[in-house]
Amino acid sequence: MQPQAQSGTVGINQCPLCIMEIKGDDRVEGEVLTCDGCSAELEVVGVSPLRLAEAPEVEEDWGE
Amino acid sequence: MRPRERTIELLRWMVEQYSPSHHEQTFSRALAERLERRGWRARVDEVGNAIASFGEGETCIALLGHIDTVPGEVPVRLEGQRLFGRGAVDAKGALAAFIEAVELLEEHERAGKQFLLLGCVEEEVALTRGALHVREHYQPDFVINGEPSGAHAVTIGYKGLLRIELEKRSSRRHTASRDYRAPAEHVIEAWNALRGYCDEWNRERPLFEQNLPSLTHFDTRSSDAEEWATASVNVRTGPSSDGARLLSALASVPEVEVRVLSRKEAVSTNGSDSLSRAFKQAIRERGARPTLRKKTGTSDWNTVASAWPVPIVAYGPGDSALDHTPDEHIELPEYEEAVTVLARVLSLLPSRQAHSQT
Repeated sequence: MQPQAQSGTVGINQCPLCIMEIKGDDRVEGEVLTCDGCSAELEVVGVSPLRLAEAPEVEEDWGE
Repeated sequence: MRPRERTIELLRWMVEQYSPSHHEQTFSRALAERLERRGWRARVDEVGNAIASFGEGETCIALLGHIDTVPGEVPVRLEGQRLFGRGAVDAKGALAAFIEAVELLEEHERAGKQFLLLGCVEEEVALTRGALHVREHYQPDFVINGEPSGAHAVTIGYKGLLRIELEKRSSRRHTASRDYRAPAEHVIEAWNALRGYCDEWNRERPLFEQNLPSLTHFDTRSSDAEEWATASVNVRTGPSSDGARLLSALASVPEVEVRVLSRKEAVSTNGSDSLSRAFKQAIRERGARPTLRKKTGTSDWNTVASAWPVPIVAYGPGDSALDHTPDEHIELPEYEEAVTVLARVLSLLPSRQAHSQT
C-alpha cells in the first residue's frame, strides 16, 4: 500500500465544497466543524492559514 | 522517524506461534524473551499477559493488544503479498505493528514518553481476564487498542454486550392437564417480549445505537419431579441503550427467572480527542481520507474503559471480515502502511514534558 493521492480538495480559509469563507484563529488540527453554507462536515487539516478538507467518513461495521 | 527496512520476520514468527485462548503461555514467554532481545523491558505477569515497556518518560502510551486467538489453526504461508495464519488479522498484526512502530521512532520523538505494550490473554473468551488484570495495574495517558481497522481507518467505538440467562422451572405435570404450559413456552414468551422491545427501540436508530438481541442457546430438560427450560441471550447494546428497560421487558414475564451473567457498556469517542486527531493527521499525511469506524463487536477497550478515562481508539492493519475465518490473512503492504501510520501517531502524541514547556 503506497501513499495515495489526496482524495477531495482542500479549501484555504473556505469550505472546499461550497467555497463559503470560514474564519477561525483558535482551530486545532483534526477538529471537525460544520460549514454554515452547505452543512458539510469539515476537518481542519492545517492552521495558519486555515486549511479544510471533507471530514472522515463514519462507517458502521459488523464485526470486531 | 527512522527509515524502515521492510520485513515480515516478526509478524510471521508471531503468527507461527499458535496461541488459542487458555493456551497462550508458551507464546507469552517467547514474546517476552524476544522483546528483551530487541531492547524492551519485558516480563510475563501473574495472569500470563506479556508486558513490555520501552522508554522512561512520564507520559504513558498503552498499546493494548491480545496474544490469544480463536481456536482453529490456519496453515502459515505466504502467497504473493498475503500472509495467511491464525491471528494474522486478529490481532497479531496489530501487536507486531505496535512493536515495529515504537522501534522506528527517533530519540527526540520518544522523549518524555513510555510505550507500554500489553499483550493480554483471553480476549477471545467472555471473561477477558488479561484486560481485567492490566486495568487494575496501570494508568496510561493514551490507549491504542490493537484490533483490525484497516491501515487508513480508525475504530472509534464498539457496542456493548449484555449476556443473560433465562430459566423457568416447574413441578412436573401431565401435558394433558388443565392450563398446562410447558416451561419452554414461558421462556419463549420472555424472549419475544425482549425482541419486541428491541424492535421498537431500533426503529429509526442507526446500527450503532440499536439493541441487537440473539438467542444463542435453548434447552429443555426434565427429572422425575421437575421440568425446566433455559436459554442464553446476548444483547449487543449502544451507547444510549437502557439496560434497566431491557431487563424490565423480560420481567414482563414474571414466571421466568432472569440472571445477568455479564455486562459491558458500549464505548466510543466522537473523534475530536487528541489521539483521534493524531490518527487523522497521520492518515491524511499518507494521502488518504481517514475513515472512522463504529463496530458491532466488543474488544478489550470495553473492559478497560471504565478504569481508564483517557483518549482511546482501536487501530490495526487487516480486514476484520477475515477475523475467525479459515481464510485469515493480512496484506503485507497494508501491514507496512499501518506501521508507518502508527509510528507517526506515536511521534505526534504530546508528552507532559512538552506540555509543561509550552
